[in-house]
Amino acid sequence: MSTTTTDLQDEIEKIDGHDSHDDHHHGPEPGLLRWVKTTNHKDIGTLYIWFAFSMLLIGGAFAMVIRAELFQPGLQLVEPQFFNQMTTLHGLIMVFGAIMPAFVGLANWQIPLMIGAKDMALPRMNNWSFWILPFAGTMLLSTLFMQGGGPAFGWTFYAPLSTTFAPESTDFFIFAVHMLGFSSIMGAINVIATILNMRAPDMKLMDMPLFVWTWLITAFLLIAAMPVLAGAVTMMLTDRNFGTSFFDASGGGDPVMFQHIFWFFGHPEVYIMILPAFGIVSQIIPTFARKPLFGYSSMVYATAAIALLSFVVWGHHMFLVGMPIAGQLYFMYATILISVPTGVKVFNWVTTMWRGSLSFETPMLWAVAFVILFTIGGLSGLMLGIAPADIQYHDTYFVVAHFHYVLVTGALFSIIAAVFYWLPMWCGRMYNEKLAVIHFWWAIISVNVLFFPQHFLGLAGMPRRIPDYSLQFADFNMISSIGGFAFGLSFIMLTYIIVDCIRNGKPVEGGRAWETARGLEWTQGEKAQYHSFDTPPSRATILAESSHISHEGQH
Amino acid sequence: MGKSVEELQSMTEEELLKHQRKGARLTALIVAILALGVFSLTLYMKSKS
Amino acid sequence: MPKNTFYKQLTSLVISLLNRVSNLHKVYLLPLLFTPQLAFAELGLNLPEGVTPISRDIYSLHMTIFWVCVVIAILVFGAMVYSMIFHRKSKGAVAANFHENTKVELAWTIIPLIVLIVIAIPATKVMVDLETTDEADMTVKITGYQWKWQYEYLDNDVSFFSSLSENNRKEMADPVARANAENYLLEVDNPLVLPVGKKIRFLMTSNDVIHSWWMRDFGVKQDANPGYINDAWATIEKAGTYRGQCTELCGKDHGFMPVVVIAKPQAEYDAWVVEQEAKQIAIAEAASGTKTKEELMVQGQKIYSSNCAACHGATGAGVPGVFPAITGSSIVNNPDTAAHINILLNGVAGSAMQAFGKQLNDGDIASVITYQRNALGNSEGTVVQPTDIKAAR
Repeated sequence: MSTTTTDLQDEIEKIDGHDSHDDHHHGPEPGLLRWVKTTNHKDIGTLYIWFAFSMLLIGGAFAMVIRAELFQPGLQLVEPQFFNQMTTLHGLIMVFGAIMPAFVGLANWQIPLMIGAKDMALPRMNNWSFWILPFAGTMLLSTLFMQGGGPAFGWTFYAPLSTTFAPESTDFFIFAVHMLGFSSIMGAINVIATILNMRAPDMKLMDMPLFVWTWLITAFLLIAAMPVLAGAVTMMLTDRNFGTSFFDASGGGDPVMFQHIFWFFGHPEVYIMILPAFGIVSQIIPTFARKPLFGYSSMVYATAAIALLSFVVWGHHMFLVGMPIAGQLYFMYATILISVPTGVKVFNWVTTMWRGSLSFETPMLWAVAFVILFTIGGLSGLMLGIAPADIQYHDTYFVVAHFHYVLVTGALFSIIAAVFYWLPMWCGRMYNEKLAVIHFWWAIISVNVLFFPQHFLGLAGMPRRIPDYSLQFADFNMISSIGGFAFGLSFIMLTYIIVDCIRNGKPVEGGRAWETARGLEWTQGEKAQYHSFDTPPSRATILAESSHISHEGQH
Repeated sequence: MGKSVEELQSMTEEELLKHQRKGARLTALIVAILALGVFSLTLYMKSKS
Repeated sequence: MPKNTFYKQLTSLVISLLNRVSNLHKVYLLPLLFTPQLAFAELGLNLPEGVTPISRDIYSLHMTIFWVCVVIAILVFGAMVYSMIFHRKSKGAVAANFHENTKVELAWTIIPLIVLIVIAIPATKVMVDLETTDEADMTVKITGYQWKWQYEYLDNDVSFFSSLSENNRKEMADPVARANAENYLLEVDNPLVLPVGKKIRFLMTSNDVIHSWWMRDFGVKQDANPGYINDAWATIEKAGTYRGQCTELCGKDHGFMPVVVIAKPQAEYDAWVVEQEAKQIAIAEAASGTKTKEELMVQGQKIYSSNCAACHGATGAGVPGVFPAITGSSIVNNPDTAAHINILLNGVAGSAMQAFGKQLNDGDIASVITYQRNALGNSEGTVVQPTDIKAAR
């Protein structure tokens, strides 16, 4: 190349660079409108996470009502119909309002930073996907104040209880689910387009951090599962209002078909809420074990295998609806097969810790708690997967204990771990480690007091979704409720720790918050910039920041 | 689409972004059609049964 | 809730916990070492073995998987705890740098697969056994209603409804009675009576929403779906009273539709059937005759509280937006009784209002209509007789 052309190029680049400097490097818009109009992935990530957190508190408040009513036998506080509204909305709000948006928020913050992209692929749609949520959430909650009350048919809204026998507000519930689904699908489209198209030119798919991988696979699950949910509620809508009988046996429909459709969405949904958690834990453990992630490629394949299997096991939620024996056996075999790739992941995490140099800062504490407690939930899941044994577990508190171990000490704990891990990078400030450790132990003890006795309740014969119970269940219910109140209180402390960190936290100084953390997100210095990666990171940087390859001799 | 790493690296920041965005829009379109397909299929299968 | 009740409850909890701990030594560790499952059951921690071949099979399957899970947990958590103790940075541990090992990874894919196959074999056997419902000695059809069960003995002329007992209803409202209740929320007015030692086939269906009939001691839990029939079977090996509940959320009073089965030796069971058949004929005869208003009101109040009050409320106020009020209702207060009789006999399609014509006899329907018209804040005055209902059917 001749000198003149190089000079010219340099000059063009300088002008371009300068232009784009003006264009992108102004900070956020002042005022509240910033949050309404923003297309910045970090702003939108923040919005998602705060929305999820407020929904978590609302859904948690509903859980407190449930636990308070179940504190002792008898109907003390609420009517059975209202109790059913609480269990229903607790489930819906936690699944669609708290866990899913929290993961989308983390994806928004982290994916562009982890793949060296400037922003999400479709920033305007990103804004839209978020702003649908508050409206959908408000609509869902507003049903509580309508005549006849809110949805009272469980978060699984089985027909015909949710169609012919449901309160009038159910149409609002249907519309809210449509909106939530729309938001999720748009979010998933954005994640897929970002990961496939916006990666730094030098980053191959197998260079991507595991969090990005798990989210890519999750996004495909969303694309395949959410439209099925939309289909199910659309059929409900026409059954309720336009005289169809998709699920009405007296009109030639089939109520069991509703369950098939629902769980064809519902089971992948379970993995939508746990795969990103696997990703988070796979980022945190190597950092605090000071050792590369064990078995990166087997982790990727295991995640993909879990995702594929998740579409062919939905029948294990329906062992008792009267399936032919061949169906039950097939679903049993397919279900227990999932424990193989899931086991691979757990073994990989344990081996990552093996012969590491472990330290237990708060994110690591939550990640280790995740691995242990999620494994307990997974093992009770294996028990539930054995079809004949499921006869005694199905729709009892054993199931309640199982899915709370998976979703609370699994999904939720991973989100808390992620927030403690990345918050110092997001805001450039460190949280109060001492308080955070106290909070961890408080939460971890109370959550086990809350959910572990529920295994016993289920085996002793207590059905789920009942507002009052026989006296032999009294002791464990009271213990569980006490654990529940303590766990509920822990979130006040969590709120304080987070707000305190953002407002008064000690600034992170001299590099990254965790000296052993690897990943492109840590290359921006002490704090995430409003705009990152004007120039995509080089191959050398990508390799040096990989948390899953060996760095022997590079220190 | 289909550009080599060297080609991508030689692009300016703007060109790269433009190139990436073009691909992203195509991906988004394909995925959106996929989602719509799943939705239609759900209703279709049920109305058949 | 009053403060002392709370503290009382809390102290009793602590005491019962302490008792359990001391029981652990007495009961669990020493004499029952030979039958550990009994100790588990007594503490209310585990499934009971049950009284049918199937429930026993399920129980042993349950214990097998449980122990497999315990072993896996010990291995995984053992390795974790070991590295958490010995591979700490604060203890000077230096990180190794390995990050893959094909042999190890293959091993922990294949070994669990083998374990799963070993579990799947007995599970499949039990599954096949469960589904073998043919060659039954007798058949009982179970129909779920919001919120009661109907039992029809298909081999005899016996059929009745079974709902939460009057006693339990009183205990719901009265904390003192509740505290001494033996079977709170687990008693019914008419239990299902079954013979011991016979292969009994159950057919489950529903009249409205999905219910699920669960008798844990029999290893039977099966959904009752409207418009479809499921089946299950049991051979009860021991006479006694067994209790269970509906396990599929079926609306407001889902928690208040227990299942009670009394298993009797064959001779006693046969006597019971004869008695029931005679009783049902007598009831049918008594229902058809003309009655005084007082008789109708007394009977009507009973029918109202067991069949109507769950939705329309004990005072007839209903639940706005869900269940219409009886008090001041235009149907109830219309001097022309045709609409009132019709709605009771045929229900309202596409709503929770059931067709009681199939459930109640002429006398019951006449009395409850009379009751609704002359109580619950209504004073329309008409007295409806069983003959009016018979004419309208």
